[in-house]
Amino acid sequence: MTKLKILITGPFSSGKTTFVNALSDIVTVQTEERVWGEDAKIKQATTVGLDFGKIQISSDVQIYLFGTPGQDRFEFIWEDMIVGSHGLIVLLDRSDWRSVMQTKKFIDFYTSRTVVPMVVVANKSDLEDTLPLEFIQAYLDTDPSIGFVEASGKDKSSARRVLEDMIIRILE
Amino acid sequence: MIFTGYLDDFDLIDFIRFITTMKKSGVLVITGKKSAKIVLSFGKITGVVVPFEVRNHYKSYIADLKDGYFSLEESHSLNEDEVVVVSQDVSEFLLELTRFRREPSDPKLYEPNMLFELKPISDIGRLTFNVEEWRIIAALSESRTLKELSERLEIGIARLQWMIYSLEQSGLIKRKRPQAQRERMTQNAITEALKRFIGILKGS
Repeated sequence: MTKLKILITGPFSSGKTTFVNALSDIVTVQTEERVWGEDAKIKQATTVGLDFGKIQISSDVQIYLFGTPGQDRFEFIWEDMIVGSHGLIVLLDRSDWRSVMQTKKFIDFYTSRTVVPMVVVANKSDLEDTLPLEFIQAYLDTDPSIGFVEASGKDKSSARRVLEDMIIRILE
Repeated sequence: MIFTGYLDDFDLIDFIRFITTMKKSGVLVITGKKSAKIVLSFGKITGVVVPFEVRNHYKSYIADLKDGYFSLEESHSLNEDEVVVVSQDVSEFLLELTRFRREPSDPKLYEPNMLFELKPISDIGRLTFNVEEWRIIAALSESRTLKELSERLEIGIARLQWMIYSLEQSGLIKRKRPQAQRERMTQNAITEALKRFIGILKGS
């Protein structure tokens, strides 16, 4: 059995768990805990370990999806989770300027540690009052080798388009 | 969208770069032990308001704001007499602010193996650089890592880090992704399976 490992990462509340759920063939493994403090105003629970999902491509090929925790204090886990990855999807919440600013840190973190194909996803594009894509791109100013797409992770077909883009990059 | 936060969480210079990139207009109000206002018009910085006694060196004052609350207010009335007019473009303004910083806000951002290059559309001619900045820019005629720059220019990594920070915040240089040779998908069975999967995704 051949396994492809794709890492789903990005800032707190950028939609990583929802994204893994939308793509996975199996009931995903989640490690959510209640959120305390300021972050609790944004959502009730957050990933503290990892999310895990799986897609069966053929009888002998599987894609493993690993979602990282988003908060800075889990940086040590991000480092560990890169190992063996074939591709990296960085999600940001384009309805939240904080998420866009924090994404820079994620891109810098991973680009200095791995050369696997990477796609930045302006997620939650279905929401109202989102930041324009061209301004987000201008601010992040990523290397041309890094893809940039918009999506709504809670829409399965939208999440699948991102996965398709990722696989094409892995095949190139 | 509401743009408010604390300088403990977001670096002021980076936030200014963010809202100017977003072409925002309004007044960025910073309140804390020290306070200031920065006037923005469609992504350009047109003025600042600082205490009277620091008007002549407002850039070092603003660069030194590291705690407090900030808020971008679209309708904020100002007393015209207290506004110091800024006629520089954003890149130059940010470059000067960063020169007053002793170190980047997050030194971990700059690892010795990080690769930098000049931005292809940098309009270098319009800005004023000091000698060391010019040396860095000249050395980046081809992409180099921080370590390579340090060795070539004989500038210590620590000093180089915040000079790189200045040049990066002003939008003149950027980080480049290493183009290491990737292991290609040589196993035909996997490639074929993935191609079939893409076909399924496209059809769904």
